[in-house]
Amino acid sequence: MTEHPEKWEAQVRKGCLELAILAALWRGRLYGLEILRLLEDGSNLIVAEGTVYPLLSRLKAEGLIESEWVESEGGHPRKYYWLTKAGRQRGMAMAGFWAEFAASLGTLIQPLLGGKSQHGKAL
Amino acid sequence: MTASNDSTQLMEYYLGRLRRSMEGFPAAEREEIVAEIRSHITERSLVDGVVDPRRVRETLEALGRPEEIASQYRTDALLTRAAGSHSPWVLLRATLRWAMLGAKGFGIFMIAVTGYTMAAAFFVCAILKPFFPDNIGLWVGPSTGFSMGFRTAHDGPASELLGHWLPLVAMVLGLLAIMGTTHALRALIRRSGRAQPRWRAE
Repeated sequence: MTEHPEKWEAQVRKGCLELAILAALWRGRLYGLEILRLLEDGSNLIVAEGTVYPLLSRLKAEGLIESEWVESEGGHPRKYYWLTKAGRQRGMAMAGFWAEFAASLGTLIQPLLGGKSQHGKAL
Repeated sequence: MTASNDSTQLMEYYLGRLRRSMEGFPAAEREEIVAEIRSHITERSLVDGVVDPRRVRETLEALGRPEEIASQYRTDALLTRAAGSHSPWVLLRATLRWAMLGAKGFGIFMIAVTGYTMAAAFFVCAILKPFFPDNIGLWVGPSTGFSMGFRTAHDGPASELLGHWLPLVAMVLGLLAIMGTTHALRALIRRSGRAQPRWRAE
């Protein structure tokens, strides 16, 4: 085990968050909280929820997503986001890379998941 | 309705801290960010259509410190602004911030510091030459090699090459150092992909 497993996990999460957001927006327009809920469902992608908003702002600055304020029925405004053409392309490229990457790493780490070392000692 | 007032106060306190941490942002941009976080807190805290005080507390905790959120916005905004700026001050501040994030940023910050320090040294030479005509110059000598700066007779024999031309030459070299450093930094920041010019966000 590394000395700071939490730090490594946080970096992996951070690195994948961009792809996760692009993937969440694949199905259409969503506002920030909807994106967060999608990411939360059955995953531990998010540490601090506040990190999603600056990332959305950066994706917008990069031209990958667009946004618009819409008044909700409840009376308070929501900022909706959707993918641009460049965003869809980036999302597909990232997803392709990720699938290949995860598959090869998955094969490699298979023995570790049994929790036994080569010497047959339980960890 | 004291509970509801409390939670409103708590939310306003949080948003106030966020707003204060984002000093220096264009007002419109800052208020839009605050509005988006406000919308998040409000909707996240609704229970049966009413803002629930306990949920407000949980929501704020899940969001993380407002200073941390502001800091993430700021890093990206600074780099975006720096990529389009010619001001050494803006570029130094942006790269210093970047330096705290990793090795690449640190390397680029060192380029910024070295380049601008060199430019400053040329300007100082140009300005001080009239006051120390015998000590400041472009020196050639066995111990100095070839260098511009301040030296006294104690530093060994050396001859000065520029004379009255020194202030002008030093000024030009200083300007070239500033322009070169600025140009290199802007190119490095743009190439990093962390800061895309706004006009691409069509």
